[in-house]
Amino acid sequence: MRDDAVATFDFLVGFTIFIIAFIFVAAMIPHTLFSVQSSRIDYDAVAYRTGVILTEDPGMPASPTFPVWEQKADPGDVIRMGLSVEQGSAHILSKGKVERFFNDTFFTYPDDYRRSLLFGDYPYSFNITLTMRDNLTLFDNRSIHSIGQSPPDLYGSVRRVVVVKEPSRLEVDGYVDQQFNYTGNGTPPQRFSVDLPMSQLLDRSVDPLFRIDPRTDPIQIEIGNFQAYLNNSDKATLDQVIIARDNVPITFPSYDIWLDGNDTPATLPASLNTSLNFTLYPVPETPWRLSDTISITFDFAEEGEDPPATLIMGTHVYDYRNATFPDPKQGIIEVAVW
Amino acid sequence: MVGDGGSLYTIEGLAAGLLMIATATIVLQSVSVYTPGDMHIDDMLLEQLGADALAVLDLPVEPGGETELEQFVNGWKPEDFHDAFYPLLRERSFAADDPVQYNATISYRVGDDVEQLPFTDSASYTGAASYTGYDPAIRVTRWVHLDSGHTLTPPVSPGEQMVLLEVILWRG
Amino acid sequence: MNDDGQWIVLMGFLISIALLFLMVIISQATLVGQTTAEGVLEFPKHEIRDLRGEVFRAGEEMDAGLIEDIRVISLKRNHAIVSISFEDYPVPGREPQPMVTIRFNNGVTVYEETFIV
Repeated sequence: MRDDAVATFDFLVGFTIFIIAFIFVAAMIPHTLFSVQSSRIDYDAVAYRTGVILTEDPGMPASPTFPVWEQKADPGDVIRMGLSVEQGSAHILSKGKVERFFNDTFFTYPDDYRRSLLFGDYPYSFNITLTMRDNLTLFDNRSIHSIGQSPPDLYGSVRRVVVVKEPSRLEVDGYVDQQFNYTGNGTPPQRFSVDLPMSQLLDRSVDPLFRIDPRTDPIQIEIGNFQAYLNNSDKATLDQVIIARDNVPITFPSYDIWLDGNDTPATLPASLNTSLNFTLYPVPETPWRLSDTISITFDFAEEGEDPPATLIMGTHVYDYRNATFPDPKQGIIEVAVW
Repeated sequence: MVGDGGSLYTIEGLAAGLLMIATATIVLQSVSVYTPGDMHIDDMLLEQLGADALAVLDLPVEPGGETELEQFVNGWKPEDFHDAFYPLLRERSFAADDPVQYNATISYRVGDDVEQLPFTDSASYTGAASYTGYDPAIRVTRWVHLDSGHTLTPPVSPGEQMVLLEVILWRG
Repeated sequence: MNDDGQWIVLMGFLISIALLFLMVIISQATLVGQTTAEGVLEFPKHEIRDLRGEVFRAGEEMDAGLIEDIRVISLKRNHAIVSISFEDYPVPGREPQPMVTIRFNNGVTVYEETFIV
C-alpha cells in the first residue's frame, strides 16, 4: 500500500519535470521560426516571377503565334498575360494590353489571373497596381489602376519601373499643310488619302518604343482647322471612308470617326467644318499582311454638288517621318502576393 | 527495492528534460549562424529596381534619337539625372516612400586603365547621410554612349566613347 | 521490473530527434531563399540586355575604340570578358550584310549571340 503511494508521488515529480522541460523547449522554437519566415521567400519569388511576366513578356494567346492576347474575345483563350509590347522589349508596355489587363469585367478576379499570370497549384492572393507618375492618366481618367484587395501585413512584393507606350497619330493642319488644297482649274477630286506602307512601318531597326504596327496599335488621324480646306462654303460632307489593301478596297468596319470635336462617333454621311478625328482599331485575325500598303481614303464628293464644298485632295503618308509620337508615360507596377 | 522504485520516475523525467533542453540549445545555436534569406531577397529586389530605373531612363526620347540618360551624361546634368532617377526608386503604390539612396559614378577608360569620376548622389539633394560602407548595398550599371561633343572635362578624353554609369543603391 | 519509468526518457529522446529534424528543415528553407535570391542576383540579365541594346543601337558605328572601351571597362569593373566582333554575312546576289557577334563571360554565365545589324 505504502509503496503504491510513493510510486505515484515519484511519478508526479518526474512527469512534472518532464513537462516543464518540454514547455521550455517548445517556447524556444518559435523564435527561430519567426526569423526564418520561409513563406515570405515563396511569396517574394512568386511576386518576382509575376513582375517579370508582366514587364518583360508580351504574353501569349491560345491559338496563333502572334502575341495579341488582348484581342481575344474569351478570357479562356489567354495563356499568359504579359504586358510588354513585343519579345525583347522589357519595360515598354502596350497601352492596349494594360487596358485589357485591368478590365475587371472582362477577366474574373482572381481565377483568370491565377490561371494565366500567377500559375502554380497554390491559390495565391495578390494585388497588382499600376501607378502612373506625375498623376498622368492612362485611360478612364485615373492615374492608379489596380486589381485585387489590399495586402495583409505579411506579403511578398516586387516593384517594377515601366513606361506605357502611347499610340502614334498623324496630324494634318489646314493652315499648315496647304499642299492638300486643290489649286487647279477643273473639278477638285475631294478625296484625301492616308497611306500606311507596312514594310516601312515594321522595320526592325526602329525602337519598339516608337514602332507603328497597325496589327496591334490603333492608327489615329487628325485633321485640324478643316475650314482652311473649305471652298467658300460653311461645311463639307464626309460621304464615306474607303479602306483599301494594296489599292483594293476591303470591308473593314473596325474604325470610328469623330467630327467637329463631338464626343460621339459620327454616322456617315455627316457634315463637318472644323475637325476630323479618325481611329482605325486593330482586330483579331488581322487582314494586313507584311508587305501591304493600307490606304484610308476620306471621300467628300457629293453628286451634283456645285460648287464643290471642299478642295481637299492628295495623299499623305503615315510613316516615321510624318507621324507624331506622344511621350511615353512612366509608371510603377507593384505586385503583392500573399 | 522500495526506495529504488520510488525515485525512478523523477530521475527519468530529469534525464528526459535535460536531453531536450540540451538538444534545443545546441540546435538553436547552430541555426542562428545562417543569415535569414529575406535579406538576399531584399537585395535582389533592390537590384531589380535600380536596373529597371536605369533601363527606363535609357529609352530614346524620339525615334533614332538620344536617350534621356545619354543627354544627362553628355551634357553633364547631375541635377536632371537626380530629378528623373530618384523618384523612380522611391515611389510606392500602397505605402510611404521607400527610403532608397544612391551614389552614381562614371567609369571611363584611359589607355588600359579605368578611372572613375563621381557623377552625383542623393545625399547632395536630400541632406541624407552619404554612404558609410556599413549598410548592405548593391550595384547596378548601365553603358552610356558619349558622343563627340560631350561636355565632360579632362581627364575624360574628348571624343566619342563608351562609359559605364555605376550606381550604388542602399536603404538608409 | 524497474523499467516502468523508461517511457519518459523515451519521449524526451523522441522529442529531441523531432527537434533536430525540424531544425534541419528550417535551415534548408533559409538556404532556399538564399539560393533563389542569389540565382537572380548573380545572373547578369540586365548587363547582357544593356550590352545588346547598345550594340544594336550603335550598329555599324560601333568602331574599334568603342569596343575597346567596353572590353576594358567590363573587365575591370564588371569582372566579365566581353568581346564584340563584326563580320560580313554573305547574302547571295547582294551586298554582304554586316553581322555582329557578342560574347559575354563572367565566370558563371556564358552568353553568345550573333545578329545582323
